[in-house]
Amino acid sequence: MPVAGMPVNGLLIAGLGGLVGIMSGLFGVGGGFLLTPLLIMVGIPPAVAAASDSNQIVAASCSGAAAHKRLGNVDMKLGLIYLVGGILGGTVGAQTVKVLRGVGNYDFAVKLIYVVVLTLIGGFMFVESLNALRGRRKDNPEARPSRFRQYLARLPFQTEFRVSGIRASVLFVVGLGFLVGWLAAMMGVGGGFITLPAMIYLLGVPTIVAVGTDLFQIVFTSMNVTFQQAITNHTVDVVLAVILFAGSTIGAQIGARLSKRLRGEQLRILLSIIVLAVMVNMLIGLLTTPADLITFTRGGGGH
Amino acid sequence: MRRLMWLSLLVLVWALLPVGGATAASFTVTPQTIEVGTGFNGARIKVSGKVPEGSDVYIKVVSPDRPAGLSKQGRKGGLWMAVETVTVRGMPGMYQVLASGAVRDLPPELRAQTGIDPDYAAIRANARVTEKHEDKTVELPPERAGEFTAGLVRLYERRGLYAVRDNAVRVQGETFEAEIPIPADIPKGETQITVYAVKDGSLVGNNAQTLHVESVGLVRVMASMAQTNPVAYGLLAVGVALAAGLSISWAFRQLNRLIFKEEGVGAHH
Repeated sequence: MPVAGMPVNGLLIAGLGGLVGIMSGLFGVGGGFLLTPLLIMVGIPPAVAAASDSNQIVAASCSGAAAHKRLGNVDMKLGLIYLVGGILGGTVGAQTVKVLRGVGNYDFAVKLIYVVVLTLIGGFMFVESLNALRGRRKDNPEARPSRFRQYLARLPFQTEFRVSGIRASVLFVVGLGFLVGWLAAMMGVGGGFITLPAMIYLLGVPTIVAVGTDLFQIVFTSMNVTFQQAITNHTVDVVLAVILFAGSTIGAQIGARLSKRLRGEQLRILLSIIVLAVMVNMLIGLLTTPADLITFTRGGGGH
Repeated sequence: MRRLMWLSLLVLVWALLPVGGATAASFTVTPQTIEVGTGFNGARIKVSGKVPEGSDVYIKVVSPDRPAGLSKQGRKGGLWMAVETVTVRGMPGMYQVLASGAVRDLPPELRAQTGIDPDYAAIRANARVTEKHEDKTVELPPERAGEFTAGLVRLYERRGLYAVRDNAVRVQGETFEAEIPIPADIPKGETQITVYAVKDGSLVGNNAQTLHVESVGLVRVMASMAQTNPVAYGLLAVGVALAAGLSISWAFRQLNRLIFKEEGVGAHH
């Protein structure tokens, strides 16, 4: 690999892409939040893994975004305001990566963030699907964040988003975009796991519009993150990204076909267990004494 | 003219003499160039040649220096993180010694003469370890630098870049041969391979050759572009991803239409 600067088995990378692709086809999730940790586990330097994953996400999301745009599922006003934050966040995120790498703690930070995020996603999914399996109705999503929504309604710069049929504060939308953009750079993800629940539950955007608008913003946020990582950190490995994408495309086709034959709730429990297992692996990395106290600062070779 | 002929004949005879001055070791390296391409996964370099009969053979392989950024891990709040960060300069990116016997059998005075350093002591002593304090760069004193240079040696040893290999050279009469395992992340540039023949405690021959290590193909173009022209590289990466995403989704739509007679499922999401 040119940028990873290390020998990497292309088949292994394609296989990982395929695995995550199958999951994204099965579960309808992006899978970026699994791909970066898996790449780290096989020895790709975390910064290269995250940046190349962002590059891969551009490829993986652009056709879907175009399709949603054609179908009218993208709230352009919401998407563009969200993107103001997303572009800013991604740019700041790439700089954060640079600073952290300089002091040798990007690996630490990325693992810590992953432990937190994967615990939240995995735990939420696990509880949710367990309840569904037991036949319990989940809480009304509108009920819980109602106080939060009242607070949101009081924020300044409220504006009308006609396609979504909602009113929301520009400040909140930009802030949310910023957070997701920053995480996109730090973690190498699209951030759908934050954008979608936030849009659906906090803003009240219809699910299909939320999906379309999320994909739309992911394409541009990931393009910006890829570019920013390339110019600030030199961590984008385009060869790695293309191999990942090839693997994940094939995997997604398989996954989508499989999902028609399998039952949803068991699948979701399975996904949550996978997510939690990856989290535990990251956590162990943070808690156990490293084999050698001296490590390469940038995680990879000494270049 | 006649004198020149005599002279050249003399030189020829001298060069062919099995036991001569300190140059009486000749060898070939195959291949002479390592091309690091996309699928490069390490290589084995064959070194074979002639030395005075009865000599012990030592082969030293040294790559150009490459700076390395190192961190020291420490525990903070129960979690392991980097607590100190330094840069080590002046240590070769690859350093291997192969010997027909035990490398440590080389007498100390010859170690200095040949630069063969089985404990990496001289190499480590040569390194400069610096630490950044705000905007000042401070060089660490030897007692603190040692921890990092020793750590770097361990990291390199684990990758097969640093090695001391006993009984790795086969000697038969005047001829010798050896295989040097080259790991995949060998530093680019010119690696020096030097052969030393040692007999009765003194150096009876030595010779050096250069192994060229260069990136080729896609890897070279991409790797150099990523460093030297990051803006163009970034745009290229984005462009490649867009092209790949749109073209593959189009291809799958066609394929699905053909095979399954249905609209394809989206690649993602």
